[in-house]
Amino acid sequence: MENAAHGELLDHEVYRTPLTVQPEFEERKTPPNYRETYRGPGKLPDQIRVWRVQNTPRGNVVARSSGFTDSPDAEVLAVGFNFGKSYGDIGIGRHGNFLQWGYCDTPAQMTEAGRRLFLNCIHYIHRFDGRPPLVRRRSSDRSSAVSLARIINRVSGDQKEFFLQVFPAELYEKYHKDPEGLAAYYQANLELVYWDRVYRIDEELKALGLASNRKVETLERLFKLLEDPNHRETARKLIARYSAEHTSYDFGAGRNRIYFTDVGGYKFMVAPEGYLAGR
Amino acid sequence: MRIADRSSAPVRRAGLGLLILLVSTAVAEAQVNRGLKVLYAGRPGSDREKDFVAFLKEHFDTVRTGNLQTFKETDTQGFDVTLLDWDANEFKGPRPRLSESFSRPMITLGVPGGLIASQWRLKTGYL
Repeated sequence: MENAAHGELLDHEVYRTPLTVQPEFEERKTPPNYRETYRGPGKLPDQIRVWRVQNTPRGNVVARSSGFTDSPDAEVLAVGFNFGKSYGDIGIGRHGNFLQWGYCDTPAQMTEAGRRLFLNCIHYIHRFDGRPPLVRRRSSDRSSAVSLARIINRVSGDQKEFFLQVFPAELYEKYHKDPEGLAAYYQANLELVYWDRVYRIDEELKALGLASNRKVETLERLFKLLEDPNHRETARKLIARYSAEHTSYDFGAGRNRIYFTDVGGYKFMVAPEGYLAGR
Repeated sequence: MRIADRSSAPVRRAGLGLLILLVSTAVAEAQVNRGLKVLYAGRPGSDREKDFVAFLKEHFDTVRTGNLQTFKETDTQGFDVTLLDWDANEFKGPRPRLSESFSRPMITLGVPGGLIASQWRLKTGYL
């Protein structure tokens, strides 16, 4: 990551409380890697509006943005301007009671805006005392299936072995020489991707007429199908696939606490009561 | 018909002044909470530690230092926020252990922080 952050997200309270952060914006040439990873909307401009956090241009790190916000315990505080990773990857982010400041300089080398944001981060993370992460990284999010499909013929080493470590064996004959076809297949079925030793498309869910495996409506529908003798067994199997053990769901008053996380293991989970308050 | 009340002008001016004072007080920048107790656990004696600690002491009354090499989660007791740091751009820095139930506020910094977060399987971990 470079020494700057994207000029967005500045409406977040961490830029206002307790100190006002007033970044000085500049335009920088859009990194080539952004072109490869940007998924819209529209096209990226030739220049990106950023603000400098610190002086040293190198030696900073980003966190992966894909799947970062698929659980309600995580949020992006600054998008890191970078030439090596993906558009949108995170320079400053929070996961539960942990805040990662991806910039490497000491305060003496930070800009005034950088120093103020750093102080605000100390105050901000203090609010999350007693609120640990709800999930831990168990897998990559579903967009990785598409990204990895595109490189099946570009990896070094045994490409068949790589394919079979990531995708089902039954897809090998059809797609092992067609990375774009494989990527298109996963992209077209993105809402039904799940991880079970490899990235799979949930054909059983699709056969039930359910279009997404990550919507609360889907889970609710599966529970209703338990009452239908024709679909009971499939529904039970799918509920087990997408539920953590011993989790009970309240589709009424507790509905807004139910979430689906790819990164946390392709499961529906429930935020504890009160966890989301004060965000 | 309007009747000019000259005697009320000073009162109006005083009221306006009070209003401006109240508004400016409301929009004035809040101050940092100097009462937050901060622990900085990094590389003892390093210039980096000195710089961070000097800066933190400008803004917080209680700033203590620790050693990342020997850091334990119990070291955070009594502190409101803990910062974990090591040499900039260092890929071989210490990787302390932490239980998954640990819930005290913590900031991880730079490359070492990203790698520590990865070890703890946090979303904030280095790619």
